[in-house]
Amino acid sequence: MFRVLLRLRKGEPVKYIGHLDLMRAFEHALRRARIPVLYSSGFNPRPKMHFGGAIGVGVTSDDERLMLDLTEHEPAQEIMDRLNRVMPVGMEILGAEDVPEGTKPLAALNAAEYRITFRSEADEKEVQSAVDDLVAACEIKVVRKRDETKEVDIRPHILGIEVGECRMGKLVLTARLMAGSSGGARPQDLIQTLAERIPGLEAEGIHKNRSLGIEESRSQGAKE
Amino acid sequence: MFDRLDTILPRVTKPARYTGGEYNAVVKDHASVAVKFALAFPDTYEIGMSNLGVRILYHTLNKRDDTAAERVFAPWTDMEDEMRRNEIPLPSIETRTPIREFDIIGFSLGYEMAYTGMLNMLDLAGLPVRSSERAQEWPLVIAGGCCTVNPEPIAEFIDAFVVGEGEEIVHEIIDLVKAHKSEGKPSVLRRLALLQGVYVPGFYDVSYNGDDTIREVAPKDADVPKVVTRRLVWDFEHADFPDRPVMPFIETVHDRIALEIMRGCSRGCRFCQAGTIYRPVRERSKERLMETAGRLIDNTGYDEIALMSLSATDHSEIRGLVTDIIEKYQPQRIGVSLPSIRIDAPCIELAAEIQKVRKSGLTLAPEAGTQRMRDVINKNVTEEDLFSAVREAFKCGWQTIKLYFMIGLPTETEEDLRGIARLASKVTQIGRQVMGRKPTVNVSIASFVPKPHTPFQWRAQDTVEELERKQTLVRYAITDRAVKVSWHDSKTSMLEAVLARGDRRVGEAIYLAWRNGSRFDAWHEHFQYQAWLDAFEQAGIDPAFYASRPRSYDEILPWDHIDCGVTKAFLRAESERAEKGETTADCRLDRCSGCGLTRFMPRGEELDVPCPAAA
Repeated sequence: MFRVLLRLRKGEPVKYIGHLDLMRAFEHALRRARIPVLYSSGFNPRPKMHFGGAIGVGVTSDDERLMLDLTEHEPAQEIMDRLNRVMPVGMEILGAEDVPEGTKPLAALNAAEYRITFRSEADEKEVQSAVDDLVAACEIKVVRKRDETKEVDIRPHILGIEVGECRMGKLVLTARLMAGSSGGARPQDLIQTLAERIPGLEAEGIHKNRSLGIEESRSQGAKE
Repeated sequence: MFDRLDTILPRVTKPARYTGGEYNAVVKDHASVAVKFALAFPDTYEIGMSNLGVRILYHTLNKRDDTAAERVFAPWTDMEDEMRRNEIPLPSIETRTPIREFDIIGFSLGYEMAYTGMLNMLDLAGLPVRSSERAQEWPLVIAGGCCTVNPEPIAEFIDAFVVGEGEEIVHEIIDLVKAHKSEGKPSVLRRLALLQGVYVPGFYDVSYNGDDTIREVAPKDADVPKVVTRRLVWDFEHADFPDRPVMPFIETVHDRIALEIMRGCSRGCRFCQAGTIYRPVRERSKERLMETAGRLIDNTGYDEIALMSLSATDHSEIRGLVTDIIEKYQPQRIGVSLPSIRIDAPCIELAAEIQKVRKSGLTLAPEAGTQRMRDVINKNVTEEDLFSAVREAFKCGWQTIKLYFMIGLPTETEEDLRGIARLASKVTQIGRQVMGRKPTVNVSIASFVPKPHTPFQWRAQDTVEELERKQTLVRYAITDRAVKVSWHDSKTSMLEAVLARGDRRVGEAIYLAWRNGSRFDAWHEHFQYQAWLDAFEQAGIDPAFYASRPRSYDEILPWDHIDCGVTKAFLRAESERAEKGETTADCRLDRCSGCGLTRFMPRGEELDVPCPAAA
């Protein structure tokens, strides 16, 4: 068995594609590219591919990680080129590497850095102070509406927020957030809580810059 | 445009229905084409993307350098609300161009219950829904699909209808529009009316008798044909077939390769409209199908290939085809499926060979509960056929069998209804015998809807009350606990009967029903019966006149000026045979039954079997 790690872009044209549909589209591309993927055994064999985490509808990303198990060795670069020739517009493999045995599973990548773009008339100072308040708070309750309304504390999962440029009514924030099955903070949660603090703030785009391992993201936060 | 749509997309369910960008979607620069064609389907993305006709037209139109064909589907109700609130005119998927800026909007109409959806799409596009209010105004609004064999109920909304198969004539329409668009829409319509297979309702007058039946449908001018003849593709072998279908991101109803192996069906079931309006039977050769299958597999990445036909197991090379596909593509883990299986043991065996995992049940359609009733409808299946078929199915590992029946068929008695219960129960007994335990038998009961161009086109449909009484009767007759029954809503069936056999006056009711809020009538949760009843009353129309009134053989029917190939004389003869319980054999297995299709045969073509009518 051979394993490759791929870095997938989910671009603007496919931002409304949900995670499962993105996986399906990728699976179709694997077949078109005739990548020798290993299949699971059993009644309904599935290609062995492991996605890092689920990416939300409406979110773009430059760093979706996925691992593929292959039946035969092929150069990672070759796999990337073949896939990119048959990908839908907006989906692109940005990097591929062979995975040596004993590599940590993708689950270790449980945080991500997001770039969130807002439409806002607020000035930099106002935004910065709202963000400072947010980071200083010991808990941040947000309400998630799904099947039932649920209140969660996202503060422990915010690793850092930087206020970027603020001009022409546009505002950019860079946020490092923890995800994972244990809860986590979603970029949508952050947007919701900021909108409550800064009047007239409206999110325009959410983009995942990169996936982060937890140690990596902590140490980055400490550097600041 | 981009920004405005983007602001509402995050707020709607399944935004990927509207954003396109799928693999194999064709996006062209409008500056580089002469004709822009909006392929419109009046239901959701998931349904429309599964439609083979839409796939074929998208492919054949986009092969032309001078034409851009783009898709548009009915927005779901939440999207419609957002579009109306934000005044966003209905855009195409590929380039987000408002469809009213196209040269042609072509609706694919496969089901009468989508008529209000079609009006809603025209309205969302910012166009008047009535053709007369768009007389000078582009785009040209055309419609095709099986509903057009009776175009009258929607005649006032559509500029021109295409009757029959679209893959050839659509090119003639494009050529004509391209060459004569500058002359204006009325001139283009006049030229279109002269093409074989095109019906321009504005050039025909309808007059009525005192009893509300039709006196005459007459062309307004001498050069417009009295009878519109259906188009059909004789060289089916070489007809364009999509080998690069658009790959939807979201799951659709038919999410697999569709390979059309055969068109038409010669079995001759007397209730079945598809069985007459797609005649004659035409097959593609195994060699050609293998070649197309290979391209489809390479270009899609699907792992399942469905062999499409009204009756797939009737293809003369079906066994060899299935074997060849499995042999060649099993290493790539590609499976085959047969969406339509004839009720006999060898066909079940074949289905079992290809469907290794029996995750879904096996569906069979005996249609009626007694031999007498099946003889009346010419469903040439015996009880023994059914029993040996299900015995084979249980042996092959299926544990769930789904049986389709119809109630409300002509001459039906309570004995026929109880026959449904008896057959279903017998099927569970066979299951117990073969498997040693209880199978699941799902019985689905539809109500008969008489359709134009069938031997039963003159028949009365049972009233809603009568259908509901019969449903109850069947429900109580089924005492076997292993049998689960479901049935179609009889009110929907009644409405379908009105829309299927309506005349021009029904158009007003469709308009009013849409104004009363009807859309997505085919979706149970959106069907508003009261809105329709109100519409009939406001329009002064009695639905019973269209649904539950028997017609005499000499009545002029609203679709008599549409010639689908099967003659009225043949339909009448079949209707009379039905009355006597006489069956008519499949003309591919026996002699020619003289349905009239041979009139359409080009010189030099020959029938597979001797045909007295052709001699």
